[in-house]
Amino acid sequence: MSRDGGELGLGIGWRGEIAGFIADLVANAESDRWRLGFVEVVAEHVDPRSPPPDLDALRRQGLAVVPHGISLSLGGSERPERARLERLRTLAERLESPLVSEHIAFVRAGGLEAGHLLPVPRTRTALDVLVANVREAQAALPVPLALEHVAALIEWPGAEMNEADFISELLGRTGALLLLDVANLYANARNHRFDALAWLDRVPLERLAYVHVGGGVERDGLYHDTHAHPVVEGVLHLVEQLCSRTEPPGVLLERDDRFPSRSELAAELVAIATTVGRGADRRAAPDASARRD
Amino acid sequence: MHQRAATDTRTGPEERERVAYGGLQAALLRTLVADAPLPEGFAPTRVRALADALERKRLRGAAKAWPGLASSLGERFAELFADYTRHCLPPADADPVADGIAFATWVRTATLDDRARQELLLVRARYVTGSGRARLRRGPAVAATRSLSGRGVLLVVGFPDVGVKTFALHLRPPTSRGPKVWNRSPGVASPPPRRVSRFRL
Repeated sequence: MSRDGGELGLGIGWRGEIAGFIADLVANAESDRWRLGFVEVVAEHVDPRSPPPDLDALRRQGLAVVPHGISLSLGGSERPERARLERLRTLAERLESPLVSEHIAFVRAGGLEAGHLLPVPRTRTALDVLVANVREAQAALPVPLALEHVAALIEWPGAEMNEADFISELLGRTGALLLLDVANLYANARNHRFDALAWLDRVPLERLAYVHVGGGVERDGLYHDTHAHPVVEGVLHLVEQLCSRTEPPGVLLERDDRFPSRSELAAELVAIATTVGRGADRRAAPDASARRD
Repeated sequence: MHQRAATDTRTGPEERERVAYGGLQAALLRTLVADAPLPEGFAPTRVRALADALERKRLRGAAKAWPGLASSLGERFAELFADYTRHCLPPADADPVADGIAFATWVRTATLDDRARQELLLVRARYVTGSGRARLRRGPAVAATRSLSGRGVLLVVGFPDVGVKTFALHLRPPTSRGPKVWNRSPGVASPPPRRVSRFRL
């Protein structure tokens, strides 16, 4: 199955703290089952003209490197800043990335910085602004752009459509790809009480660029998508459900903080790869116990 | 290229739409990072949970960027940082390194009482400091710092040949480390604004 982003395979978010772990994992890859195929790097964390040498080493070993932007504020009311787009473009070119990704979110408004990806209201106006901003970003970038829906503790009042339809229309109008974050879907379905499987059935999976899997924790009755805790069972269950519906070009583990031991991190990657395989089996043999849950 | 959707002929949002939309976002953001009242329609508990999560994230970011600073303050770090976030907005790009520097500066000021703060301000207003010896200013000068008593500002204004004046501006009534604004109980009248006191030194 060939897509614009190409086949990425199994991935992990590249962070300085686990650079050694990733390098060793790639150097000692014994099992084809869960060989790393790509890494993602937070675009704002590296110098686009001289990114860490580790990333070049990984590229020489055949891995793709995907810049993951967090500061474009595509969901913001203002147009994306030229300098930020230029930076992202430079990085994508420098790393010969097959695609770049950003978020359906805003991070600043009225001169204030959130320091976090905030959800946009699901209204016509917000959608129109997003579409215009995404098109500007696409015009400035040398490779396809994938958009990630975010985990949100809050909901804006006055929603005019559900999240799946909002995303579908955004991707349909811009031609952008989907970065499906299973942990974000899990968090939102749980915190806002909607059916995650119905969501999966509604978004355009044929536009899937790759998948994020991350850990989180429950705090005061709310699920927090922290990327600083282990991946929970419910998120893996959704990975299997997704993979029983389609074959994602890539699946990537995100870990940003409180890094566990190498063996724990490796075990999470194996668990993800195993789950993807299980979902693929169900897709191949849809009659055998498939798609009931 | 595949990603330009040629079939979509709808026009983009108008500028006034963007401005109005930006106002909604700014109002929410002011609530989250600057303690402004909750905009209508949001669930207060959720917004509170998000504001707390943002604060935790800010603290983790600064602690990671400045591990020495965090460890030197030990258990006081979290408490001081929480106080800092109540008075200082996130820096440009919410950069954890810049946030750490601002926090370190703030911590030093935070340990001084109002009298010492005023003194510090007077020095800043009267003298030019930096490399070399401090020297008297020639032009007008303004310096400000947070007041320890209440959520106010100490302001020092100096004019050549006129002297230096200090103002204590209480922007809002002093609050303890209590609930944020959106949790205030309805029906309670706001206390009258504080008088601006001024005195010549």
